Amino acid sequence: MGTLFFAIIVSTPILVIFFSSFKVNNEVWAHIYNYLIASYVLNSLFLVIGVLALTLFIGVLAAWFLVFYDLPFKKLISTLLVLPIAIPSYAVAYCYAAITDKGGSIDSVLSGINLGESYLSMLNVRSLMGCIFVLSLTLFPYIFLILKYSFQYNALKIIESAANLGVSKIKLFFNFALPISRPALVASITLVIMETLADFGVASYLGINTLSVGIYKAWFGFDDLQSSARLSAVLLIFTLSVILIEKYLRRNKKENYTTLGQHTDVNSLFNSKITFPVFFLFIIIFLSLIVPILWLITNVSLESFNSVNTVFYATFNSFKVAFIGAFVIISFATFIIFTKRVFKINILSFIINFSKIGYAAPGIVIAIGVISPSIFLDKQISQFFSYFGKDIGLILSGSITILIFAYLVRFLSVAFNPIESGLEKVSEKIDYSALNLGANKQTLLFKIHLPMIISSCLIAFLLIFIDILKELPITLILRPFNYNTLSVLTYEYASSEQLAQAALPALLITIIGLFPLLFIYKILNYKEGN
Amino acid sequence: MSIINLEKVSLTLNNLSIIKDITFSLNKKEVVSILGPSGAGKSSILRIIAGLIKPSEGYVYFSNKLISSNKSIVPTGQRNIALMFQEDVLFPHLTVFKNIAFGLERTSFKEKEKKVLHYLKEFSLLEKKNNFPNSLSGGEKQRVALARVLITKPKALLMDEPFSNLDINLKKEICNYTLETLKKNNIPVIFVTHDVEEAMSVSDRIIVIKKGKILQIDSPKKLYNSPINKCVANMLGSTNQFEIEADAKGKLFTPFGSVSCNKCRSINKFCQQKKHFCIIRPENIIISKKGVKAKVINKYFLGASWAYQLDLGAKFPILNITNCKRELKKNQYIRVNASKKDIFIFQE
Repeated sequence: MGTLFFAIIVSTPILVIFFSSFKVNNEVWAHIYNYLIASYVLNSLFLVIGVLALTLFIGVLAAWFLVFYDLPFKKLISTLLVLPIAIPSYAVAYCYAAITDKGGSIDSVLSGINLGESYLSMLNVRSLMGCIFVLSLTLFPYIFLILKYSFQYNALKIIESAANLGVSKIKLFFNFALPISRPALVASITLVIMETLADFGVASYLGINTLSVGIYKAWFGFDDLQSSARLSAVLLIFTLSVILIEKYLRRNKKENYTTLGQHTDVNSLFNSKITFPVFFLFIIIFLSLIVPILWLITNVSLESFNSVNTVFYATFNSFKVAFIGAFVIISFATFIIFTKRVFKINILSFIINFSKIGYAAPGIVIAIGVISPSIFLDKQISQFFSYFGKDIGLILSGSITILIFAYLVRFLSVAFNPIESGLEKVSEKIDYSALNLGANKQTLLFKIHLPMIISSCLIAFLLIFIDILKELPITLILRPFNYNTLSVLTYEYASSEQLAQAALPALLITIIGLFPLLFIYKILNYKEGN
Repeated sequence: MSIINLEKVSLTLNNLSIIKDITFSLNKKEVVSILGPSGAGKSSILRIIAGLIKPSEGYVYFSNKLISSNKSIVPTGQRNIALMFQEDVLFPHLTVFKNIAFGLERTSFKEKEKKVLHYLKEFSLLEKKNNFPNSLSGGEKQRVALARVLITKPKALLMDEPFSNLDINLKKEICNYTLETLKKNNIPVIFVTHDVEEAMSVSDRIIVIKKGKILQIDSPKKLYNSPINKCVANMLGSTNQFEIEADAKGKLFTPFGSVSCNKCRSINKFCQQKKHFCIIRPENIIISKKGVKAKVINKYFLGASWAYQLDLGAKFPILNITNCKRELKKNQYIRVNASKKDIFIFQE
């Protein structure tokens, strides 16, 4: 019963979006429909196609080089290729915008060698191509990570045999490695598409009118929440189709991981030259990690320290919401997965699948879906108390509770994956033994399951912690009045073109995010070693 | 005096019949094995007795008290029937001490410590009490698993393929040790396995099941020597098996003389109307001076003995014989014989 109630609560924002999309202000919607929606949809579509092509190119090649070439400092390169996840994509956008704008570093180099402005405009990131470039630099690590693990544990054995039969390297790549890793490829592509559709910070800063940006504009520009809900419904249809396509493509296909930890002497497979891979990987690390971090560090000027108090409070707030949010989400996810396992309730599988819609829905859509019911509930509560002659004002709207709830809807499925796979590795016979020895359900959860899946929970906690730390639209829209987090502060400074001030909070997000990320990587490597 | 009784127990999951009409009992101090191929429903029977799943039909009694039916179920932790899997079901994050103490949740710390130390000593695990399971050998893990179960003083023990993960040498040693310990503690055991040798060596009775149904319940010796059908005969050991025909009077001709079918005789019908199979175990065919002429077509050295493939001519199929002490040459002619009581005849 409780879980069903929970399912309804979690799905409320999505349902609200669909229902409110039927009732709109005709004038505003007519304007959006006649003049804007086509460009929103086309921009989103081109952005998705472009980002997908570029992230696939970078991510797949990087994974291939790392697994099948005998490169020096493999572990270090591999870690450096994952770190861009910690940098908020909007910070990368500010960095490249500053570098490629008129008067930026590239302009000074070009004018130094007497090259005209046409070259500068070609390199400017304030365009669809620029947006694709920036998003790809921050999203390729997802493809790289998933594909690397798939190549390493899934494809390696088969590729060893194929290489032994004398199959050429190119044939191996296209005919073996890629088809074998198809489920991993589909999963990572879906992730990239969803992240691209959900992006608000980069597109809005670079002036690309995508659906997410349109939703924000409809609400705050036209002041029409319903039109914004209808646009959100369009975006949701996009993301739902992606989920359905993914489900279709992955039907009956499970990756069968072969023996873990068996590393072949890969160099003996091909004896390939490593000049190009090293050059390629260096360029990627340079563009996605070194340039943004250097830019952030060099831009943290004395000027930005004027606002040190504000930044300090924002850091504290970011930490607070990220910690509470991650803790609440992990607790819910663990409880649901435990209940599903122990009580074998099928409807919970449905909830787990349904929660994926929450992750697929861009933050801005969730924010809109959360705001209307919270205002409605606030009105009811206020009315109830008014009978007793008390005016309590708005309790939920603009509170941390509602912000955490929106995070819950958005990131619940991020927690499900590691926790569920962690618990799947615990044999059911362990449960039977514990129950047979007289343990009750609480003992089973707290004394057996939790200690056994603690590393999976920790990974999920840290992933969500980083996600909330970087999260922009939900926090921007639902935060309590005057409640600044680092991401909000970065956005506000950057949107008023105070990039020097924006650098410090952006750098802090990156630094705070880097530690959990390195920690996750350590846990994964430790697991791999065992 | 039986301690556990199953009466017409059936289990259906998702419209699929897992076990059907299972009826048997476990007597005090008795070791009963459930033997059958993978997917036969062996573990499901154990889980129903342990109270991990409800039967769809039928009743389970423990000391004459109903503990499972499709309507009511006594929770597994309150049955005093312990369940033991293979050694890897130790809790990996708990030390040996804590693993053994797990079932003593409601006991005071002092009492708990006293009991656990007693079992640690008895099972020679005292030095390992602070170790985690991953640092133990297979044998040590099995001893911890046994101690963890025995400390709760169970009235009966259910073992689900407990030794399947151990290597052959260790398996025998641990199996004997475990069964001896259980006998010493007067604990009756139901033992699920697909290993025939294991079942034969430890059991007082064996229940042979296939596709969720009991085929035969008997002592190992009786099962081996008098299987009730082809399936039981095959399950209990290797066989030579071939179809034979009956003459007009119902006599069936085997390579070692004519026999008659008990079943046909009892219902007074001629064997000619039914298809019959003859089963002879390879070790029951002996090389002798009198008997059927056979040619050695293949030979296999098994260490302590020899095995041969014999050609008995066009009328009969190739026969295998084992347990021969003498080495024969390929293509050598010999004579073989088998006692009629060792020839099993089954109708299809």
